[in-house]
Amino acid sequence: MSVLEVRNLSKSFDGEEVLRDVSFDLEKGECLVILGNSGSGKSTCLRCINLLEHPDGGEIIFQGQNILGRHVDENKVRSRINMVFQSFNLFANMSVLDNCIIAQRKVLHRSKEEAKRIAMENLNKVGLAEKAKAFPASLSGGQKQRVAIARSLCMDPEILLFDEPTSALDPLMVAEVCGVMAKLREEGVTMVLVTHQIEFAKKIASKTMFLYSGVVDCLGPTNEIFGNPTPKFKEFLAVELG
Amino acid sequence: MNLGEDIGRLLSGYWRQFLLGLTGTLVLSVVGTFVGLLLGIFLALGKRLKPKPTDPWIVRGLKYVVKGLCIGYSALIRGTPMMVQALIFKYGCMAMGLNWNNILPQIDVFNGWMIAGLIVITLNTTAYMGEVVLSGLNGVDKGQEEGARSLGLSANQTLWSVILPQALRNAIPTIGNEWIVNIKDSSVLNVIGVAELYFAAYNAANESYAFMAAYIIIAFIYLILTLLSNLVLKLVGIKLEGKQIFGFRSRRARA
Repeated sequence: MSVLEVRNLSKSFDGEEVLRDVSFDLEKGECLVILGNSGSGKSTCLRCINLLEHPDGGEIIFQGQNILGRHVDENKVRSRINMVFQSFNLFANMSVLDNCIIAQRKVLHRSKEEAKRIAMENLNKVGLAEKAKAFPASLSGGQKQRVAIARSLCMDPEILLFDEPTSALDPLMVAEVCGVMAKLREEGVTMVLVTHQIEFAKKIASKTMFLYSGVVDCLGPTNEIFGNPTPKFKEFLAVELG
Repeated sequence: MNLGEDIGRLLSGYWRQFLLGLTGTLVLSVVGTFVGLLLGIFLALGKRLKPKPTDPWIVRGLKYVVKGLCIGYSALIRGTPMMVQALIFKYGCMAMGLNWNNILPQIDVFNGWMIAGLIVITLNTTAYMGEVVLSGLNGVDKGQEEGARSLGLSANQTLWSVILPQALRNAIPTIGNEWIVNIKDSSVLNVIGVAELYFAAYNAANESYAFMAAYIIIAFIYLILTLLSNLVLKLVGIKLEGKQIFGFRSRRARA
């Protein structure tokens, strides 16, 4: 059974249509990569799934429930579908450890000890256990993004959304963050990734979707999409890969 | 009679009054600033309310009313002198049958008028602090809120745990400024008989006829107070620029 079904999603900002009739499924353990030019609606699509934006039309069915319906506890949904941002968005007023603990305490109501143990486990997983007491301002970009990933993992999310997680990083740090994502993929974490790292996307994605001006141009298993690209996708690849 | 002699005479004869006045000024500025800050937080939150089309109509209506009241309060207080506010407060209270003279009349400084003065300076500072906190809140990166909400934290949890601490930290220099302003501006409260520093000098001058000397003495005391306050604020600033709070290294390193 699909863990996430997106049906005919549409969204406009000030009359300008950003997403039109976007539909796709996500199975448990799958990794969907969304590709597209800037402004093609990739990020908006992710933000709709995380309910940071409210779509104008369509359905998002998460574990059998339409999360766009009335009487949905949005905070609960967000705690099950986590987002990792391009700009990290670590809480500047908290240490790395507290960044990982706060939502566990306040949303999942875990005990302090348990939250701390889980936080340290996940910081260990991203290789930053020794930075637990540091503040975000003293970390490098790659380290910040790994902490952000650990912070999300602490919530045991059903789905992890990555919104261009490496776009603000220099090449060396891109490698370290990609390494962490590849590891999560091996562990079977369900994820949706928006990225401009084509080569990495090819490696990690089980499914690829190409958005062109807010419309799904092609969607399918990664090797098929790349093996037999549509004209627009071919053009996109030519530009992106230089 | 020369000035030096007058100053010596006043200091030896009226040192107790000056000391009490100094205490009054300090109490007014410290209490006014801190309580004003606390209330200012709520004023800023009121001004920031965003009535949404999805809210039930009663909630939306309430939000508009509260927001309107907060904006009106802020405009009214910041648009009129504190001296006038104090007088209106005094005569307003009297008209309603409340004479501050009759409350705690037995003590020198902390009489009824001091309490009235504390209320006036706090209500006045609240309006300014509201603006300070509001600009602090607006200065916090929007990503902080999104990061918190995306993890499932509620709007309130996000505000109190993530946004507000950062807003207040950024606002500390401006909050300090308000304190220094309050040290000096509390002098206008003498119009309703609050026993602060100016009030002490006024009384001493009228009794001794050493007008110049009395005001030079308090000018000097005000100067020392504000210089000391500046020094304290600088030290706080240096501490904040260091690594101790939130791990920020310095403003420049952050940029």
